Amino acid sequence: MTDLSLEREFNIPADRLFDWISSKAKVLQWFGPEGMNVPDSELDFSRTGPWYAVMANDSVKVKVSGHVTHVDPPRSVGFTWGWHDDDGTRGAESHVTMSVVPTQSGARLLLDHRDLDDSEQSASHERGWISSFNKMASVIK
Amino acid sequence: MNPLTTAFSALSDSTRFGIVEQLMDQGETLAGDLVAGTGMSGPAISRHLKVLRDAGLVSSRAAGTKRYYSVHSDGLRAIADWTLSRRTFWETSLDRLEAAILLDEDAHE
Repeated sequence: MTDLSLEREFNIPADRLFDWISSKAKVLQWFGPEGMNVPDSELDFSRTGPWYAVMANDSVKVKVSGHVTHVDPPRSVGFTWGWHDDDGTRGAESHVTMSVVPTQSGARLLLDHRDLDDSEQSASHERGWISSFNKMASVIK
Repeated sequence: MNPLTTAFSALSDSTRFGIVEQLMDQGETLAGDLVAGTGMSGPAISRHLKVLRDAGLVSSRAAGTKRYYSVHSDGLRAIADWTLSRRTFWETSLDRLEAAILLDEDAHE
């Protein structure tokens, strides 16, 4: 599946970077793509428990929610992630981990977004989708 | 339902999924040739094609009494964009985080 890993370097100490990725007031300042606002949310990654965010622009409104599964300051936070359908049904669950590693000049943020492997059936279903997407990509070009 | 969920819902039927795959492989195909591959009746295939057309996944073109079907690339692109969105989501969020931290640094100086 499409596991995603991203890295960013920051010139601030690890504990301050951790604050930026966990405290509600700070997370609200950056969570979500440019041009989307977050009219409704519970984005507290500084404690375990449920979280959600509603993101919207002029044409789209989407909700994502999950559960904060671990908080280990100033090192890492982990939470589950699932998009909601328009009728509120929550889709397949994935897992996000944000880790902070001190560096000489500040700290590095590692972001991992992985799918939860819940059954062989869903895995084979996904393989089917992926082969179709590959074809789609060649059609779209 | 939004266009994307309509598209996924249309593709959740194995016959319709197969039709889209066939059209992606072969390009524009005569409706009659689509029927031949499935062992289903013409009217049954027509109903499936209507669902796919309504979902924006296939388009059709009439030539005389014949009707040709092909994949509608806009509909497929919407799905392809959706699969890319996880990366886009986090990349742009991290861009914003970077900008917010720089702004905050300036305020503290």
